Amino acid sequence: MAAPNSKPGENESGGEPAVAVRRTNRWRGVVSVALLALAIGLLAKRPLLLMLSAAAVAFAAYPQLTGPPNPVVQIEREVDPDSPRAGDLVDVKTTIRNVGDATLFDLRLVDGVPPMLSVEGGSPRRGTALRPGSAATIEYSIRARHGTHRFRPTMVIARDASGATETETTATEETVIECGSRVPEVPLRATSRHRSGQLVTDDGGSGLEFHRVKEYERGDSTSRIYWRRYALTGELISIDFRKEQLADIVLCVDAREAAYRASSEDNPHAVAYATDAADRIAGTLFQADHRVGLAAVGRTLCWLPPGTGRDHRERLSRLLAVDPALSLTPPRATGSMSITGRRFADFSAADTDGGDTFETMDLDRQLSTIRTHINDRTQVFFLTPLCDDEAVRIAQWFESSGCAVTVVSPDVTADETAGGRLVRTERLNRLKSLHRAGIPAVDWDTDERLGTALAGLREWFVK
Amino acid sequence: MKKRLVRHPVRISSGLAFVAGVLAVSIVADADVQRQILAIAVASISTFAIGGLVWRRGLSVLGVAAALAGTAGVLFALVQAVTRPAFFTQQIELVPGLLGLWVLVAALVPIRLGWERALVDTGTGLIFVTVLIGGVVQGISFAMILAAGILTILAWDAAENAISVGGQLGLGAPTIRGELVHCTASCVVATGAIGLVYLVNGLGIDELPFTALLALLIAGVALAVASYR
Repeated sequence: MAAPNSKPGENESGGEPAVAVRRTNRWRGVVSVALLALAIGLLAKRPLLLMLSAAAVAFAAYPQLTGPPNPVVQIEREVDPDSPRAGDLVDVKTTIRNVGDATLFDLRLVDGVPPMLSVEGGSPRRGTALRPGSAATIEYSIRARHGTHRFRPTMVIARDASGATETETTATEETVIECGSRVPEVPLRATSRHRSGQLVTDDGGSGLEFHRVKEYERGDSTSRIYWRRYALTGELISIDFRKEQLADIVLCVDAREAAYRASSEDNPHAVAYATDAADRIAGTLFQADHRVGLAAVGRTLCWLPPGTGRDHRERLSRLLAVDPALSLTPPRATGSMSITGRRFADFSAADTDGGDTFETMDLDRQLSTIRTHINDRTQVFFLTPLCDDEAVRIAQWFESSGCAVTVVSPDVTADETAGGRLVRTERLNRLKSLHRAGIPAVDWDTDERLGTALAGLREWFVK
Repeated sequence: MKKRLVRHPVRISSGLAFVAGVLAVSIVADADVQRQILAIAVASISTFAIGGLVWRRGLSVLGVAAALAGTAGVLFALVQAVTRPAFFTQQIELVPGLLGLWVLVAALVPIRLGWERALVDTGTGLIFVTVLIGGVVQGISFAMILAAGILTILAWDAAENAISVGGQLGLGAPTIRGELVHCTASCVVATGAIGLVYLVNGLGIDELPFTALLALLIAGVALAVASYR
């Protein structure tokens, strides 16, 4: 069981959760009823109908008797098991308690199911009414997949008794399901800033792996002198090791509309896979003391410069979870399509009824903005499903502007239909064109572990 | 297998809406022949609803067959409603109510996604027309017409709430407690409205000039309109 660590009233950014209050105007039609009864009563001279009109006016006044609800709830969540194997069912029990002073007459709750996981039993949604101090429980089960799966904030919608006013907010309980998520190693390309770390470079210096021997120069460390040779020949020779350096790495997620593709309506789309992969790659890189940043291109730009430290790491994870650029709800304009051409249904139990409302920012402007913040020694991991040629262009643009790019591409194609097979072939051609351009690209079968896919990079770098 | 979110109107509130609508029409249709026709119509509409729900579950042939049988029954009841009653007033007052019940159920099945609210408004509107006709042409009692009108409003409230809850939480979510609390609160308001109307009635408005009563009500309605601006 996962130990609950609840902070009621706070969202993932640590502050107060956003609260939206809406008027539904659902009783407006009753005014028409009152007017109709009034008019008919007037024409027919029936006081009886005028009284009926008065009753309708009473209903029209009903919303004025109730104020907007102010839901103050505390949330606790238990998952069992919290470290399942892929394919296991995980039981989730989320308890929501009304810790405010007022009764919540109409409370609608949507638990923040991790976007990569699908609900297989029960429902993550519940409608109830809660007196102060009372609690409601949401119980359901989800099927585990490889990855680190963070629960998203639970959506809380409270309506007053009349339903005329609706308050929407969120409640957060940090819960994580770990499922074979560890990425043991993230191979990096041979270029970086000159700071010692785990990136093996072609430069000689201090390190572990032998690089070359050279004539001793003044200033060389005595620990690197080849004393055995000196004892035999009297010649002073220094040993150079491959220099190991820290890298500045930016994880760039392709969150353009084209990237919201899924192999089927039951599967997560590529942006969800890319976001999860970015989280896990970042974890491994942080453990190796690299400086890691985050970028996302799409409906809006997300940018976090490379950095280290616990705060920076938390900030990166938070952005992956809540930044609008990485919203898991597909853009509203044309919706999301599955790779087979069918409309992509919402896979997330925690989604809202509508899509985003963010302004679209020109892609080239976004790329230029990122480029101004990174230097030639920054490595870019571009996470994209390669669903269109624009993704290849972005990778090539990074490479040509001097950054070392590595593409990690979740495979969200399907081959059930002729259209699906065509899309798969086009994607493979794009991977080949990246290889021809000298850009390492990982074809990640999302049923396999990410770590296994990334290990393939090692072979690429040895070539 | 992944559970899909089905954003259809939730069942408890839908059922309560239908029951309230049937009660409203049955209050107005007080003649024996009208009650018989209403019984035929309710049975047919129930068959139509079951067929629609079966169709929504994916059993197309069975569901459509049952819905068509229900529709035929409703059409038969409509013909009966026009032809069987002896008086013209009885002939015309039942037709909108029966149509309204049918449209209300069609909205809650739902027959077409996205049309639920429009169909609920239309259906309950037609039921209300029956209530108004009953108030105009019949010597129906004050209490009965008030009850029928308020039941129509409660039917609309429950139906709209069913659509709202279904849209946000889906059919699979446990929502009964919230639905029942909402309907109970509306019933409390209905009781209050009835009490208020009886209070006004008890003040001896029969002795007031009709125009004075009218002016009072226009003021009330204007106030209600203003509150929604």
